[in-house]
Amino acid sequence: MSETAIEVKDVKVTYRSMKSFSIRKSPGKIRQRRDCYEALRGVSFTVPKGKIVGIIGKNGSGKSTLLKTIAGVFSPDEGTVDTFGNRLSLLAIGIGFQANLSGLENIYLSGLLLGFTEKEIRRRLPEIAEFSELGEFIYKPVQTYSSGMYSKLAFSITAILDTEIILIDEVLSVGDIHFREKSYEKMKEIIEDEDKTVMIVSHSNASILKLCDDVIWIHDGLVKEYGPAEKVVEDYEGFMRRYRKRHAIDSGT
Amino acid sequence: MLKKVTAHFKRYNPYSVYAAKSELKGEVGASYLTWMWWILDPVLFMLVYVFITVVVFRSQGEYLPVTVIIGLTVWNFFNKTVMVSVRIVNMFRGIVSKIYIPKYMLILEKLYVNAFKMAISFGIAAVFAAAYRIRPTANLLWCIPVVLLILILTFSCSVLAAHFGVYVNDLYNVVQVILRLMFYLSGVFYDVSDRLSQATFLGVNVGRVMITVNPVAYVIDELRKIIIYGQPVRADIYIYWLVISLFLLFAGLKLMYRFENSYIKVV
Repeated sequence: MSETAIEVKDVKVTYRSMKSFSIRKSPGKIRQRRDCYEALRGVSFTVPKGKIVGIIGKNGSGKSTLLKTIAGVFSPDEGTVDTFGNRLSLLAIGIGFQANLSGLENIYLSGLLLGFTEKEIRRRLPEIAEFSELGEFIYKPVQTYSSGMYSKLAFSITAILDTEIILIDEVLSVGDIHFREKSYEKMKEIIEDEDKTVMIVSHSNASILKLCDDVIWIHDGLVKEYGPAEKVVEDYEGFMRRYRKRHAIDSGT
Repeated sequence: MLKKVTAHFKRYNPYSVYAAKSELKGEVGASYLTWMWWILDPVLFMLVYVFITVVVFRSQGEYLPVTVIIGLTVWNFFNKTVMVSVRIVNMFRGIVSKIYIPKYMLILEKLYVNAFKMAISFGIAAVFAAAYRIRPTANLLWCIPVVLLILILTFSCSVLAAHFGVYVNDLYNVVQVILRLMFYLSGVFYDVSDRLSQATFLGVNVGRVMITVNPVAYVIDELRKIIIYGQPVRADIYIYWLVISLFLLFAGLKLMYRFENSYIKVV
């Protein structure tokens, strides 16, 4: 039996959609503003080590919530997510920087957040700096960066400080044409590494079929189907065709 | 919960420490007088309050500069940490929306920065105490549990402020007003024990009430008694505030863990 990299057990995530409010504008209305929305309603599955698993589903089905729950951005209200001590990162999106600090310091901070030690980060620092193509800008505060430079640094950190589990939320390339090609190649190289477990959320079924071994279809916060990519994508496409047809009839178009 | 907090502290504390160091380095690099500001800031404010007390209110105290600098040291630490915590989740939304970090670790980063400045300020207080020929006694060791108390108290208040700050837009203004009131009632630039020990209001001792309802007033008063007058800690009030602080910390962390997955949807 193959080793499990990710185990998601009966995970429920509820958004208590309490909006921020102003005391001045709404005295006594605090309670009225609280309601709940169940984004994930009991999701369970396991991902074996080394697999590339795609996540598909229509908008609002809970795909990104699932990915962010696995990444730990949300803690589940019920159920558990076990990544068996493997380090994990959301690729290509970047971790988020402290704008007043330099690129170099942000590399350290991002690495520490991903679970690397200062020593490990120091060892990979030259590679990150080189891949990001930022030159002397690496020593300057991130607030002075252009959006392209920001994305390059973000991608380089997550790509070079690659973790055992990589989660990809749609964004597949960043920066100018040259860097986009370079980052796409780098990502492909990471995905194809047999030691990495990868989960990809995408609306592009073609990309999912090209890259993934298995696919999880999420529908209304539940796992509708989990199996080989071709079978699940085919079922999903059939469902979406029926869904669009029904939606068109209902709206009279 | 304790197990979870311990595991998270172990995992994320290197981040908070590194971020605090970077922030301090950034402060040094961004000003002309660099680290001198860490010394000048408390000294200059102490001079302002001494001037107001002596010249404007025509009041004298035996060890006024030492009294004021101890008050300012504790107050600045508490005030700055709580104020920054109100908006901390919003301030770090770029990070918290992309990777998990227990939100109180962001507060800890600010707490470390302000604790470093508090340590410098205590160093200045020691210099002034020596200049006023205040003899150090063995009771000085009582400063350690009292400083520990202000660390726990500040952290617990900051965690609560950070949690409610996510949902209440104008909490920053509310906290600012509360802290301003607290500043005047904490005896930052006057000695609560000296000035108010005999004062009564509706038959109640004002000095005693102040240190019973205002923990910052208690900590400032206690530190002055230890450092200037060489007295030991008053165990009853100390335990009273320690229990309240730990309870607030527990409640704050519990709230934060329960609601942190919805913060990102609000900020």
